[in-house]
Amino acid sequence: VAVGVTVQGGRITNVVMTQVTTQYPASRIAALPAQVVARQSAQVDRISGATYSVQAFQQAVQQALAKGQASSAPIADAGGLAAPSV
Amino acid sequence: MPVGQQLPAGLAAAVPSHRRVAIAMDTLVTLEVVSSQPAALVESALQRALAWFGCVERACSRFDEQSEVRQLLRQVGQPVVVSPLVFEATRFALALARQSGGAFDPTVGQLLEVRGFNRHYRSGERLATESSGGGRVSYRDLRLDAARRTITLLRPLALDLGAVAKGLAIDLAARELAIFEDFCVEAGGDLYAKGHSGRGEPWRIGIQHPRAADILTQVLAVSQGAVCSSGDYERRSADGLEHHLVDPRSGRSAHALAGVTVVAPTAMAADGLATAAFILGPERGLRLLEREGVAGLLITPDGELRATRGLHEVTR
Repeated sequence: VAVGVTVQGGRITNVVMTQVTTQYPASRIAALPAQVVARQSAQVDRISGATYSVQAFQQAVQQALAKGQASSAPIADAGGLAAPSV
Repeated sequence: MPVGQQLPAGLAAAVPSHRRVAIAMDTLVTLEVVSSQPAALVESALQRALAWFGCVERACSRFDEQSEVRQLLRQVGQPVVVSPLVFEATRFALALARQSGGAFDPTVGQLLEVRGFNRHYRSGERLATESSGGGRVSYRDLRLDAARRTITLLRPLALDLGAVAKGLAIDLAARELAIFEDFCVEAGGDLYAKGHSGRGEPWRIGIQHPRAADILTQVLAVSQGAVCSSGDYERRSADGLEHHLVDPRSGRSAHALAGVTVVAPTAMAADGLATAAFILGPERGLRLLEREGVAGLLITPDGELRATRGLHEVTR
């Protein structure tokens, strides 16, 4: 997963996952690897659950920000997401 | 952005899956269309669908001083003409407030603010609360005029459309994608799905267990409809003792349930009803869902499950 961050006037105006290479939706970026395994074995397309805040993976956004406007940085480390590439 | 993203070998499907992921409304939005139509056509529809999230957020956010919802507070006592988006979201929220006997209440904004749910996720800025302290407010302090499309705040209050606005955005995005047979619009665990996934089967939707991140409580098979969940496990107050699902009648977080999932024809209904049922608790919440004719699953803090009669139709 790569994240692109747009900064305008010192504010984050847009954050877009520019590349999604996980088989399952990147909806649980902060998930533990164990969760990914469980979900893979269950073969689900999506998970319905309480709405998580993106503040949970703000660290990844901060990393992207550190690299400057319109850059992208890998954030797989943020969640240890180890789903297969496609 | 990947165009015509293919599923991995072994799950090979002839029809390409187009996916777009973005952040909006303080959560992750994932749109997916499974279609063999030209990529440019699908991509432009995805772009239009995604734009609805920004549109609804700009109008309905209680964190944004420029939003229509915040502008209402500057004209207390006066009818204010609002956009159809804000009007419909508020009208639905008000109807739900009445249906749930006030357990669901879109005027809980200030209760949430004082519990620390007051920081804008993009700017990090805290809300400068303008709604006067003191005095309890309720949905009865809202007046709507459908003919003039106005909202009047009878008292200073912070309108919170958080429980319905995301559902509305999902529904609008889904409407944009309705030209396709197979698609799914998901925002932070709430979704609308139609047709088939890339595997050629109805969309398989796992329901997150509220107390075990690696367990799914149920798996639903959905070929047309919305699935939305409310729970106490994602958004906690700074001290960790309370969560964002506040019972307006007590002013405190509701604790009789840990999670509720609702399957309904629209995401706005599923989203709002999940929140209302959560606050009502297992018995009254279940009765509300049955009365409204939607399917749902209620999970207590002990892990006990209560399902509506219709849930088995979407469970596999």
